[in-house]
Amino acid sequence: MFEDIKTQFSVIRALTIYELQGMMKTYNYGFAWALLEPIMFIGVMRLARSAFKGLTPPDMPPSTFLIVGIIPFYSYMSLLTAAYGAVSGSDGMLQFPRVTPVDIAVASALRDFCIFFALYCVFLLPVSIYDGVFPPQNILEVLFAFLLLSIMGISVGLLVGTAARVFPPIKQFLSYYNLINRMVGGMLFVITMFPSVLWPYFTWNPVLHCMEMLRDGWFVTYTSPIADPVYVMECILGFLLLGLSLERYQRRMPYV
Amino acid sequence: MTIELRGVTKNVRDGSVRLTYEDVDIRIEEKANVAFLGHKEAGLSTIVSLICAADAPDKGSVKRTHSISWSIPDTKFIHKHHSLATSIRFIARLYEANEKEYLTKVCEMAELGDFINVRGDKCPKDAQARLAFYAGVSLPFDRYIFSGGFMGGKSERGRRQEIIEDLRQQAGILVVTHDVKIAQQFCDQAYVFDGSRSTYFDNMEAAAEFFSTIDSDGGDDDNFFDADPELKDLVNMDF
Repeated sequence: MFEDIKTQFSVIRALTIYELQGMMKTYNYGFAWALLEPIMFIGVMRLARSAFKGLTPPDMPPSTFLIVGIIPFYSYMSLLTAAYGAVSGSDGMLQFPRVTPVDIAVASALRDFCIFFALYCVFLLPVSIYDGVFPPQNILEVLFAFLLLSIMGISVGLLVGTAARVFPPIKQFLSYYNLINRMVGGMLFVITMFPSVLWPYFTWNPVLHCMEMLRDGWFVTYTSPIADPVYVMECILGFLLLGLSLERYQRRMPYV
Repeated sequence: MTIELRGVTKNVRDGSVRLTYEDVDIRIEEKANVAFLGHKEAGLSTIVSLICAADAPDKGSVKRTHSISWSIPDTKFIHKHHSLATSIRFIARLYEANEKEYLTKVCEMAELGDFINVRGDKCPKDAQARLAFYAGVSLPFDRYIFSGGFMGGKSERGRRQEIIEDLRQQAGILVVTHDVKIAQQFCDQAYVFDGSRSTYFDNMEAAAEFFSTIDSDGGDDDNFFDADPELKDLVNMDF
């Protein structure tokens, strides 16, 4: 059994390095795109918040506030899409008999995690120092939230990807989910900006809990009233168990 | 230690190849040297994908209890933006081989020379094919799968023949081909794929004889004319 686990680690390591090297070589449309999209989004939101002051929480500098939330959210969506793509379609690497769809999903997700985590450090450190909110109140909480969000991305990706093999139109739902999550996932707000009677309409979403943990961990001036890491871990466990079980079951099914 | 396909049904949709294999039973014993004989339109790559677990059957089961290579000399792992050395290192990592030793061995065997640091898309096809062949045969497997063009050009043929002879003494080989002579050279048993079924032969002569009776797509055209003598006369008319 340990031999099998060791083999799987070697496979994932080989695939991750291979994918990262591939992205570096195709720099123009690899890392550049990874940088460009969040930068543009952060820029537009920063301008919008300058125009409409009421949109920003008063005790958190807008630029740091946006970066703390937007990059982990993009990372979540990217990991979800990577895992989804690896499981839902046939990949050339599967011609290697020791490579399984889960290995490809984990390797693609690790590649995206490395890129977005590097982006997070590169953007957040200078901006937070400029805004005077460095160092973070609890760096471990921030890292833990980032990690939880990433694992949740892989879990949901596995789940949706396996569903897509028997029901391909689910891809459309994925873009709707993405759109809804952008609005209610806490990327652009904290829960205290809404009256407490509305909170139950938001707190079902584990992504929001992660976002709250990120802001709670970074800003001394903000304490989240709803962030619940146990709820997030329960959701991850459920998604992961279901996703992996379905994937194992569906490995016996042909690709459509 | 076997490879076993039991009651496998599979729809083959590979470019223009459209057929359905029904209730295919294949059993390959340890160290047996087996050929899969089939014309290009027999969709043999799909059968190999099933054995490699790259795809699943529509019905039936595929069981594998020993290690197998990928389909040699498949060049899909050579990334167009990677140098050949990077691609070789990837295989070394994947199969837990010593990177330096493996790289040196493959470079020497494949005589890659200056191509080793050239990107995949800038590298000639024959260098890529040489790399793919020697990268596969340099690793230890219980069974090696060889498919289309694995014998290389005339200059390479003798050397590769020796290597494959060595491998078939130590491990089993599976040759996927439409070339009967090559199959007879290396294998003792064969499965002949014809339309939607496979037939097993435990000697290569009988397999070759049966295979010669199977028409490829070109042959089907002749049958089409045979069915209508008037049409045949019309086509053969000397204007």
